[in-house]
Amino acid sequence: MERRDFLLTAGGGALAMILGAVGESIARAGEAAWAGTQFARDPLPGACLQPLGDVERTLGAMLDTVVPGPATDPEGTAGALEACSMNILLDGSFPFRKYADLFALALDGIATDAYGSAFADLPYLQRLQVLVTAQDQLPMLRLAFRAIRSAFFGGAYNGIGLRYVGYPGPNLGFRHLPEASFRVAVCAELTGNGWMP
Amino acid sequence: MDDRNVVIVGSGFGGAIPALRLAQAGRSVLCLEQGERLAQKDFVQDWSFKAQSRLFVTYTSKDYHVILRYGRGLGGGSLTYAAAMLRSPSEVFEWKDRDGYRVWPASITRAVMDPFYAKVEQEMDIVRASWSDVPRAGGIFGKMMAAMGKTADRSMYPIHDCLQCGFCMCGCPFGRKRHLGVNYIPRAEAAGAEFRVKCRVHHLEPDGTGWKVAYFDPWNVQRTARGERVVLAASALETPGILLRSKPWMKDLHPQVGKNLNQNGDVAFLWRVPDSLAPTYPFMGRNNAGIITYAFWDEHRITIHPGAGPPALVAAMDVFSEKGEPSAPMGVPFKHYVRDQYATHLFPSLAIGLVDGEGTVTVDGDGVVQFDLPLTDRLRAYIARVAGVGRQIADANGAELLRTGGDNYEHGDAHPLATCRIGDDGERAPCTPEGELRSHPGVFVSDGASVPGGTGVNPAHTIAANAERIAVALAAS
Repeated sequence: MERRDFLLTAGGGALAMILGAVGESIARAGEAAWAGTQFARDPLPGACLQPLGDVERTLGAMLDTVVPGPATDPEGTAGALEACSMNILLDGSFPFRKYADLFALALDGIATDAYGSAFADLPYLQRLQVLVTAQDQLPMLRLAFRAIRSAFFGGAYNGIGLRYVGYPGPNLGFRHLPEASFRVAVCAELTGNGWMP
Repeated sequence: MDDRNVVIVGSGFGGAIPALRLAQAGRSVLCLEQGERLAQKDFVQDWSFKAQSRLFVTYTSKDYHVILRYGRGLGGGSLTYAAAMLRSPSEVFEWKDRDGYRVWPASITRAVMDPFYAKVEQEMDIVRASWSDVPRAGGIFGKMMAAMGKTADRSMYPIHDCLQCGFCMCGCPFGRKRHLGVNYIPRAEAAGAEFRVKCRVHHLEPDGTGWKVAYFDPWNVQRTARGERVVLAASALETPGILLRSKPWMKDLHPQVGKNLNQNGDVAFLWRVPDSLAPTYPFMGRNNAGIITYAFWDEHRITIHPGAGPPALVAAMDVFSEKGEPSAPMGVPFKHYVRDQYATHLFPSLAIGLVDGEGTVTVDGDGVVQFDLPLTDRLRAYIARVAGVGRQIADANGAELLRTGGDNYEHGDAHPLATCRIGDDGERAPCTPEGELRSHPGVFVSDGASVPGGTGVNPAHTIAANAERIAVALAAS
């Protein structure tokens, strides 16, 4: 059984056990939660801020290098752009907006120096090398990369990344899953009450 | 202007506990909290940035390498912490820094602290996790220790009937984690203390025999409250921030305010386990994964505990392998690695140990708090020592230690301490052992800022017990 299938199936089994006590209406909500749709919101039309000008084009290429999407990933699965992670860079409520131009300028500068071409026009492996170089020169970029990854894998804007790693998202608890805990002592303990004298 | 016996700034462990004790002692108490009063419905299973920004205040170090997160809301960090409540080992209170200076006052030992720990345990109903409460990742860590002939102990929590949903750090959505909003704070209110939320304190001014606290109310109007005593418990970053912003009114502020920032020796790792120990399911169960090892304490003065890891946090780490892929936390290999390994073969852990506090808190020209946690040679050597222990555990179990950042140091952190520390030496410690600011009597510090050094374990219980201890001195003052 695939891991993802297991998680969803096992979740459903646990849900059935829990639901006996909470009623049908909650059951419907719970099933949706196990399927991940409550947390893993699918993008609304227009929910993803899209690259428009040269700066956004460079930033888009940056996102597609940090978490590659169909254009770069040989498996063709969605990446940071499809997960709306561009929003982190362009949404004024996050700290990166004021650095976005600087990021693009730095990437294009390093790319031009190293490969004689704008960052967005480079092939994937060269773009990757530029990012590794750039994050050492511009530590704020390293923070931006972390935010981009977190937004993708953590489902900040939609559930693409959550589904990708097989994370079921919100749930009513894994307490009843046999796999959730070994439930028996697995090692000797040093203390009688949990803390050192 | 409000005029009270005591004005408290902050409602986390350092603020809520003195609020209760002083109200019980008959003092008029006003507590100002920057965050909201959150209800159970506000704790949702959502790791998105927008949801998190309601629950946390985030600070980034000047070099962007360290992120510190503080819980915000009435109850402070207790709302969103992972809830391990462990008494610090005796040696913590005897720890001496690089200069041979004993950072805790000589009058404070574990035996002295024990009655205060016990008070907190009673108020918060702290219990030991059962083996059924230990999530799978914790159990795997226990098995790894057993394979080495080492011990690991089930931890203590104010958590009852946990459903193991894995969202402690979003605030428990099922009300199973007993944060301060269900014990100390309502008891303090019943005893007459007033808690005022969405109030941001800017600075203090002396006022005759007391102090004026200048703050912005929820409508951003500047107001003033007066207290015969002021208790600062706004966090190890904001407490010194308030004092540093008060310099124009607080002449001769102790020069060590904002110094000695200690990150509690936190070093985060990921483990990649072999197939024989998989699956890890790091998203299941309490976020502090139920177990801790003291097996390396005697030799290295470190403890290690596994954690649960929602993908948003795990993937945000600058993870790389010393053995090959992922060589960098980006690109196709990293994306595939997280997909293939996250749910089945990875779980995070945190080592905590005793280090010197070498960081600094300052305020910029606008009065905004900044911090710096330099990667000093001493800290680098400590991290290398911790990584060595980690590799030892990994090698004994056919596992792999995945480092987080080039120096295992570029990660989020939650345990800053000691920026306005208590101590015996008046030159090194801004506060007396009773928590009173030496340069400005009547101002007390009772949060993590006053805890003078690393706690060896998750610090919440020691912060809370120290606040109970300081509250006794306050009530007597």
